[in-house]
Amino acid sequence: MSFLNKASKLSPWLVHYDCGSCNGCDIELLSCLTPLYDVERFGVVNVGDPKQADILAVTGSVNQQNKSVLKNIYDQMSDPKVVVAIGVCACTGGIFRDCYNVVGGIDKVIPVDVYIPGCPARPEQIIDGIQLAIKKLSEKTKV
Amino acid sequence: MILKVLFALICMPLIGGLIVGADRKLTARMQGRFGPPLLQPFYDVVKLCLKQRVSVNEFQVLSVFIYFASSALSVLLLLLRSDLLMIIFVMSIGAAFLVVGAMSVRSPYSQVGAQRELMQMLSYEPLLILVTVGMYLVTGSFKVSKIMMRSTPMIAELPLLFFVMIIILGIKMRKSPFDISASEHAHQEIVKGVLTDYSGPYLAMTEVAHWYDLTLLLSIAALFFYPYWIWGIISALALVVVEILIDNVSARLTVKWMLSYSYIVGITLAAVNIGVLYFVR
Amino acid sequence: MQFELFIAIFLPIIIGIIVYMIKSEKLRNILVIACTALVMLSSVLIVHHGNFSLEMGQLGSLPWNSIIEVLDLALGLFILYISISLKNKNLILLSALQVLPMFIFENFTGANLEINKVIYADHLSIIMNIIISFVGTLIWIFAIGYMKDDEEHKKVYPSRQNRFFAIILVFIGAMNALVFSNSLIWVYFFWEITTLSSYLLIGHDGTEEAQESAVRALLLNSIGGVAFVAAIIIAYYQIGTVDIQKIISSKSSGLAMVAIGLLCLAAFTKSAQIPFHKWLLGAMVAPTPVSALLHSSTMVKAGVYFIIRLAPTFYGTRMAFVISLYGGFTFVAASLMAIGQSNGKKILAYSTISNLGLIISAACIDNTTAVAAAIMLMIFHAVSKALLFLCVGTIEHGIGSRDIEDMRGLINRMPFTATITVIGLVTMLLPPFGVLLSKWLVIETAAKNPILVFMIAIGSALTVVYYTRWLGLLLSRSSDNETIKYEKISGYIRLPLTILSVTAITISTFITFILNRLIVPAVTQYYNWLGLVGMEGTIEETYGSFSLWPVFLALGIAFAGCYISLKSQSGFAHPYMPGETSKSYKVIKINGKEDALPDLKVRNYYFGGLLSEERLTPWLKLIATALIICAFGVILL
Repeated sequence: MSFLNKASKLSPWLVHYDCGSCNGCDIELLSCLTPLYDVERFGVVNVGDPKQADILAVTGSVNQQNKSVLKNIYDQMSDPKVVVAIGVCACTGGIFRDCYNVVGGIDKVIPVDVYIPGCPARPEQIIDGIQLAIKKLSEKTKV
Repeated sequence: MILKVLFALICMPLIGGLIVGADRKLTARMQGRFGPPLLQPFYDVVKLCLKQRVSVNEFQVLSVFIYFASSALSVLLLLLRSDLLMIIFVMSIGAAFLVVGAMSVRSPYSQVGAQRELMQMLSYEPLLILVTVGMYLVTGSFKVSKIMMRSTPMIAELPLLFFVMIIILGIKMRKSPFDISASEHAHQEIVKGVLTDYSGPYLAMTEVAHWYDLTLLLSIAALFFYPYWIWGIISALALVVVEILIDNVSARLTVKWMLSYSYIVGITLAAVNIGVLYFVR
Repeated sequence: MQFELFIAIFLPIIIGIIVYMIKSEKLRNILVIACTALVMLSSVLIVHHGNFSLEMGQLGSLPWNSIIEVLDLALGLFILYISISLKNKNLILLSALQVLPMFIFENFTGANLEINKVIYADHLSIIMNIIISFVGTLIWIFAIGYMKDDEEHKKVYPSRQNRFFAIILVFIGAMNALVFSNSLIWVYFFWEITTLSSYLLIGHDGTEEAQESAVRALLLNSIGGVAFVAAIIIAYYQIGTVDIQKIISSKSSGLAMVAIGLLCLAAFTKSAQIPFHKWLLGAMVAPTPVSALLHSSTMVKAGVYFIIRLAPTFYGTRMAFVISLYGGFTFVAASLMAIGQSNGKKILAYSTISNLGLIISAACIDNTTAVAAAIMLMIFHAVSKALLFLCVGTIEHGIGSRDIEDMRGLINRMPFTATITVIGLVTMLLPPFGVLLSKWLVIETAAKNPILVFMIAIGSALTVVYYTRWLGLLLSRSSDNETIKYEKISGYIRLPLTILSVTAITISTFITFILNRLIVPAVTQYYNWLGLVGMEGTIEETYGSFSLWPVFLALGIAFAGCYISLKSQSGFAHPYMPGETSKSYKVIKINGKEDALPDLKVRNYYFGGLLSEERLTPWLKLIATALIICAFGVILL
């Protein structure tokens, strides 16, 4: 039992979706994969396939055009799954909140588990947030 | 006998998983990172088994089970010292059904991945058959039991075929420059290629079947050094290290390159080795 | 024994003539079904009886030999008449070259062509008889259902089915006679009947393309006929007899080998080997029962049967070495050309050519196990290939196309036919089924010959490619929003497909039984030693063994696991599609101008014209012709 519990915490696979971001948060997220921060030591792998991922990491705010795309990707993920909103644009809409096409943060479309504010969010904060997401994921996992 | 069956079915994939884990660790260290823990592949497989079980259609599920069963059977047959050519053909059942499973899904990524996987099979299968033929020419039999009765290792007479194993292993292990249809880590050109639409427990089964295939090919490589089986194991692990090295320094290349490389270089090496053997005997 | 022979040979011919003359469809169907049952029964009785040989004395006051000679002359003149009416100079020349020498040889040279045991059946003949009687008669039943639909589709009034059925019935009778004949003259006569039937059946539809293909078939087969006549004459003067068994047991060399070589050349044309393969591809315009019957399981098998029968004469000679290379070359070359094809029937045609090349190659390797492998491949290939052709015919009627790209997702629209096609493809392709086992055996025995084993290894990998992608295409399905329709097909088509697919699986399961009971005796009769035995679900051979039961067990466990897993699965997912599906965009703007979104199209990789027929065929013909000339050349060395 404990091995199963442990395993569910040690292999979180990530899929990253850029909603409408200026790419600042994306660069910070992808830099976590580099040797300087190296999230692979936690077992995090950036798979591009939502079917095979546990964590959906979203940057950028939701607008009218990518609302359905975000929902589509969330629906294709299989249970159990968690959503991480990276950067203040994904959390609440950021500085673009009052634009005519921006709907708001991603929690207007899909349920969010972890909010990581920042503009851009720093890699250390991102790694911290992902660790929190992993903890929530293991709670959701039925062992 | 029961012990052999259990060893083949349970221990070999564990060894395969450890080799894959060491592979990831070594790759990370080569890239200046820490890398995941050694047991990471096992954590991955367990986590995948705990996920929701969905597939796109029934034939995917059938294909995964046949792939798993035939890979496991081929390792078992190797440990029971059967005919090598038979083992290769049994392994190819699974490889063919992996392609069938991917082609049965109407997603462009699976379709392109399946076509590329077919090209990969086209590249390594003749070479693998020729390696077995080389072993037959030296030993006089295709059976592993006859090979294991030798007192001198085959590597002395089949050096070039051992190098051909590097190409075969590179294609089967999905290492650059041969990781064209799917790859270990996510290269997202066609998402996960032939494995795109597998998820959850079915993806875990394909991963474990991959471990079976890996240990099968490494065991065949180790056979080159029998009866010095320590040297055999060392050489098999050395092959893995060479593959990781090549993986880290090369980019993924095209299908046409892979086909022409494996046919020109692979078949030429095999032809020279077998030709020399044929004329010497 | 006379009774079974009568049923096997004369009954189909007589019923064929009757069927030609009656107009009633119901009566015709009843006659064909009755003939099927009787021919199958006769075949079972022949197997039970075992080896036999017969003298055929006289019919009334005429000796049988003379009757056959007269009929042969009539046939030759008929073909000459056809070639004159077609105004085809090559054909006139070839048929004249057959009729005149035969006539002169039989009547004016004082040759004694009477043979004692002119009907001779050993295990090889019995094996061929089973294949012809079972596979051929099932194709008759299929043709009943198929031709009815076919004539409706093509709007043929009045019905020409009586001509069709007459010819395929007579053809089976002639094939049975061919495999039981011991005299070269008799074999030549029945050989020519099959050529004529092929010509008449390929041109059945009457379209220009059909007529052209029929003439090409007649032309290329006539080359074989001329070679056959030359071989008969040379054999008589060099060996002194036209008795096949005596020819086999005499150790011939020198000029006599030229006769054997010419007989092999005739077999190459009959079995559509490169460079004579064009006619088989053109023959695909014929209705499907013709393709299944003539051009995959019986007529083309006559050629390889004859080579296997003659194999003891050239066992171990240099000519056999070159012919085995030639067979291997055909195997690889035809597989290469099959990869660039998307027309289902053409893929099957090239696959037939390549498998026949493999049989020829195996029969000529200087290892008795290889000869057994050739016989094994012959049996299993006949069943599986006939099944596949019948399936492609049914699919063509169902969806109106032969292109495998149009068969994508066929399991949803025509589940029964698609399942049978999948079974057929799996039996052609994978262990533990017979075709792959014989391929395994051939590789094991060919391994001493480096060039040959290279060709077979490459060819075998190519085979996997073009069958697997077809297999995957058929099973394309998204279970969450597609339902499987119920397929309506007539019982005449359902029955042969079911029986053939069950047979294909069963004979693979009981392969050791077939091996020990039929194939091993067929080989040991002519060669002293055979290092091949089947026991307890394993095929043991001198250099290796193949255990079948573990593979069946593993596949069974896989099926069971799949079934259990699917039962408890929560549901089905959508295939992976990122972003928006293109259906939500009706119109897109490119450079400010509106444009309609093109449709998504997925196709197999056909090597983009690199492996097209036009590019490759000249080179392959060149190499093949060079190899044939080599085969004759080494006789002189």
